[in-house]
Amino acid sequence: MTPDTPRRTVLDFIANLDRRFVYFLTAVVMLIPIVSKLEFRPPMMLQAEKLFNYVEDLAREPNKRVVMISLDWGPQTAPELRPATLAFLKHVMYRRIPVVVLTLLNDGRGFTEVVPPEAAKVVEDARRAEGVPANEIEVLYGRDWINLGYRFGFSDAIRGMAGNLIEYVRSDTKRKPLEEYEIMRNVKGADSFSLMVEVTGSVGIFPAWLQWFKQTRTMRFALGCTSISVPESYTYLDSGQLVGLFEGITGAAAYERLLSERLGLSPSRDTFQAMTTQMFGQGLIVLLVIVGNVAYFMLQRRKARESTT
Amino acid sequence: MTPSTKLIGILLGGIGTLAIYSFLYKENRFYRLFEHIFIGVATGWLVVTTFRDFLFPKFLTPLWERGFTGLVFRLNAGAFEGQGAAGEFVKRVADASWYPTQYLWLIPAMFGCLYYTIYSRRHNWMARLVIGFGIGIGGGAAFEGFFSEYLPQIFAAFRPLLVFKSGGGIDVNLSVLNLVITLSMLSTMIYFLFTIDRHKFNLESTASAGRLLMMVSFGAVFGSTVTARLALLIERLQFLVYKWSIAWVDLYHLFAGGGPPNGV
Amino acid sequence: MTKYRLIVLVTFLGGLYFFFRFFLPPHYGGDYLISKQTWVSQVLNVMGAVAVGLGVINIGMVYGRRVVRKEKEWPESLALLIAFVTTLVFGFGDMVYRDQNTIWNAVYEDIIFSGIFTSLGTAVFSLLAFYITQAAFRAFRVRSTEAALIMASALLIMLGALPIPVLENVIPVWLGEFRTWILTGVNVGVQRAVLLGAGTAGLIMAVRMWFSLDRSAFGGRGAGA
Repeated sequence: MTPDTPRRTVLDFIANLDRRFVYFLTAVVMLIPIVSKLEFRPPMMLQAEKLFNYVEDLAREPNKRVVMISLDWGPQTAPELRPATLAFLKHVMYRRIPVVVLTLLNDGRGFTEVVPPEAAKVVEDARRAEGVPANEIEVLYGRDWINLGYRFGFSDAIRGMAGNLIEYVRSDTKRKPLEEYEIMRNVKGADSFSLMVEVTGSVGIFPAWLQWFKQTRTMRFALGCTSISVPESYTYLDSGQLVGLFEGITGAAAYERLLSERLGLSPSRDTFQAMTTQMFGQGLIVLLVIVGNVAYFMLQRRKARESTT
Repeated sequence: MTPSTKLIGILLGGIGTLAIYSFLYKENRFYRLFEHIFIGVATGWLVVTTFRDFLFPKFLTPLWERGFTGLVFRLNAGAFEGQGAAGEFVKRVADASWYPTQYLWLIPAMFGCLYYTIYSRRHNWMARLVIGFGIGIGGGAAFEGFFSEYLPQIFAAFRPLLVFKSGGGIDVNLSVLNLVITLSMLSTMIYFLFTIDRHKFNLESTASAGRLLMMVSFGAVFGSTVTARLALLIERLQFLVYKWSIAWVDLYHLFAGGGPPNGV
Repeated sequence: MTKYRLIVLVTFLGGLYFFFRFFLPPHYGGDYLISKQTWVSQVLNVMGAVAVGLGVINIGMVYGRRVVRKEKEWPESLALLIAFVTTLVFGFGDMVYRDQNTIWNAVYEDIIFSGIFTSLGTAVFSLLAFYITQAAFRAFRVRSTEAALIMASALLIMLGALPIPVLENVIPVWLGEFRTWILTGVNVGVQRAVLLGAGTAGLIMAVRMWFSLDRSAFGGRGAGA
């Protein structure tokens, strides 16, 4: 080092840190809870609790009307929305509320065939553990749930289903006429449902449901959205257009906690762990913001000092 | 022993994930290869699902069974007349399955096919017919859509600034909340009013307040965005640690003999 | 009739059903139009679905040209076309052998959907998490009051929803309530104002385009006339 070479301080090191080091640090910090299987209890979320209580009220109705859930998400948003979908399906299946499953996105088609059976298995295991009679354990396709699959057309599909769902859809994914299923016996249009849960990470789909699948006194909406859409969704909560909200993975984890604490269903450990990992990730971001800003201001001060001397 | 498709899927998924993440170090051919594969699969998936879940069952099958097939039987019913069971069968199918109105579905199909004229320099104006029709639908439907979605929002915007409890007394929390919501909304709307002279109506400070309150809301959006993005990374890391690494162990055991211990 | 006028007429006709469906009173035809909703939806679906071939043609034109002419990135383009054709082949095979557990179903579900489509889709979007952390370090500078407000609000929102076990009954409760207060208070007011403004503007734009007053979608006046 020559006498003219300026000394590199920690500040210089931080200011010139390679972006690849930051990427590496991100991966390492988030791998810590995953590899160590660290899990913290998720905090309670008010909106998830509201939805949970609403479903519990629906379960107390003598003639349980059908609920609908639209899995309008794909691989890109599955990490946040699959846990919410799974948690909701477990709840309605456990409470024996018939549920119609569908998707308006071709990306979501595969998930409509995979997620409900996963929820059904958890519910069946729980019933078995509770000693429920053998003939009441199974979550039956056609009686407890039905898969309408991918409905092409977005707004057109919503409008068609709102009018007369059986006439518009005609058959399920097994190509069997809907009239042959017990679950569809009293279903006609939007009025036939007690709750419509839209789970989506895409912009514009939930407003389309609001606009065309008309909310009534007896048919209400709930939403499962990615965290990005949470601030906007609060306006719908405030206006009464939503009875509850899954706030991304945080909301899903809170709902799983409720399922575990109040109904005794085994929670999805992946969801709890994802919440914990998220804590590490957000902690890292907070730290980086603080360090970045402190380094920036110190550098500015140094530059000002150097320019005056 | 051959690995199961599930095992192959997990292994490919992990390799693809690492290929995509290699972009973080430097753009490279490995990343570009898997990016292109993803685009190919995604487009193929779109075509397959549109065809198998809509076009084939809802359009082509009824057109064939209730249109063409029924017509074929109808036209040939005379040839089978008096031929016992065969003749009765053909007549029954012809009567039951021929719906001439089924052919009317070809009209919207052909209209939709005008999209393909976009590739012709001479006839591409016809594609604008379909596009225009779609835009017209959006325009006509906008009224109902607007009122269905925004009317409850407009009603919710009018809220009491003094809320009284049922047992008497003022509900301070709710009153303050309503006041904050109303002031935030009005100041934001005033901020976006560019067609009046704010200075003349003494609205500058209100507009500035609106701007600051918007920053609070945008900060909430930003914080939520961070949460959403992290969740995607978490799922991938969980996949790599819990499924992909174990899939390699299973593959090793498969080739070493004895089958996959983890049953994939 | 000129081509342009025909386009304007068809555009206008497209919106008539929904317009009258909303505005006509029930006994003056409104009920009848609503009863036809299912049929109208099916017609529009058919119109849209037959255009799925556009994607196929585009793929062939763009990437096929690169392969044939051996242009830049032609091996990757070839891989794209192979992946596309393979998905089509196994997809239609899965359709033919539906619910039969054949190799077609297994490859389509386990390798193409779960292995490639889901994994790569999530991986591509998860890159954003890395960029966010990089941006947090490099770009988020609190240089003004507005930036400070954004950052403070963002930090409160992020921290207010996390399980911080050591401080569970103390600070996070306060943070959680502050988070809820921001979201249900200031955020609702601001978002509602933006929503109503954007919604009104959207309605006006939709009507302008319905009456062909805004011709940007058609490439300017005289296009095709």
